[in-house]
Amino acid sequence: MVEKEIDFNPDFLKNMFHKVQYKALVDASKIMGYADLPNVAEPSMLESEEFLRKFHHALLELHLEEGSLICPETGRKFPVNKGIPNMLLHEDEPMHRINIELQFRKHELKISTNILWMCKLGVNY
Amino acid sequence: MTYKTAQIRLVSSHPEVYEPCDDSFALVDTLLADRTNLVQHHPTVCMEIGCGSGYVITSLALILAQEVTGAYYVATDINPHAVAVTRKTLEAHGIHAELVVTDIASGLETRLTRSVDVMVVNPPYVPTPVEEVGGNGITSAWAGGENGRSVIDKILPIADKLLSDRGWLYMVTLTANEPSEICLNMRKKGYASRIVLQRSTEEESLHIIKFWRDPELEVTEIKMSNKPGHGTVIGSLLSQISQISFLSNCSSN
Repeated sequence: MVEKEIDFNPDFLKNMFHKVQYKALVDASKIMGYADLPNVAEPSMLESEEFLRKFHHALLELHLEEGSLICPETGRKFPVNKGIPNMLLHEDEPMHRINIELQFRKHELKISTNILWMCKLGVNY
Repeated sequence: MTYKTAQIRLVSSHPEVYEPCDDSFALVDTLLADRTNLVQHHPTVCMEIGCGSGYVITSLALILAQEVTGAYYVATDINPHAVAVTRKTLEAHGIHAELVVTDIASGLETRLTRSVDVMVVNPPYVPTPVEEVGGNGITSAWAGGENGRSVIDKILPIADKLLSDRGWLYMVTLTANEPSEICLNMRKKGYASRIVLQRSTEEESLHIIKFWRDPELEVTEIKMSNKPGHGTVIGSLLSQISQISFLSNCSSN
């Protein structure tokens, strides 16, 4: 896991706040070892720079470089190399290419790096 | 004034990765031409499906960078080599994007639902035997199956799911893909569309289509379906598409 410094941009963060499933980001950051985000956030908190700084850090500065994303239900690992997760399923995995979305619906989210909040997977690093 | 796009000499390469070509240039030229609208649109999340060498997503980020700070860029490709090359291309230009090796957007669809403000797609549009579709090497960059539509027709419903209420989609197509039929299909999902660039190269005739959600369209659709006389429907649909495109073109300028 690495931390990268990214420019702090309150307007962007306010926009992103409405796009991110906040609970997913909180869970994701905890798994990445960052527990400073409050468990619940209201839009009114976007006026607080202290909150925005934490949100900024969790969303943009925590990167999983090497490791894997794990489906908590099936244990299926998706490797992450040089910060890039590989979510491809093997040819012989059930529902491959036929109903790929269903396959992923089974993976209930545990976490994220700054991409991990986007996928419903756990992580290992 | 000229705006920066990705520099070819800084675009990384690999034998298994499609290099920037006429179609990539046409898409980037379209984004450049639509730059004023894009800046006004002020996207928060931008996504490319099938990023290949990274030329397009890097260019989009550079085109927006001067005035739109802090946009979040996501790019996917089914070809792991392509994603690795995209990472190098982005780094060479000092741009950061989240990269994922996946089939279209598998694994990201739930969380990114209705989040993407600008999506760019240069899909595998070349008509090929169906058997050629579905690999994850360089053939995945062009093999499009019957009429070149196999992958396009898989991408569009996913794009519909991921695009935000104000989402825009730019997609490269060929004449053989029947762009007007693609526009009609998207119209049924509530999208207005416009062919924003047409370019004939030695090998192919490219059409870049821009789609955007238009709440008015869903209303029109209901009215239309109440009208008798099935044969005229397509004709009037087509005329409405051009009218609506024209109107929204004016309002966005």
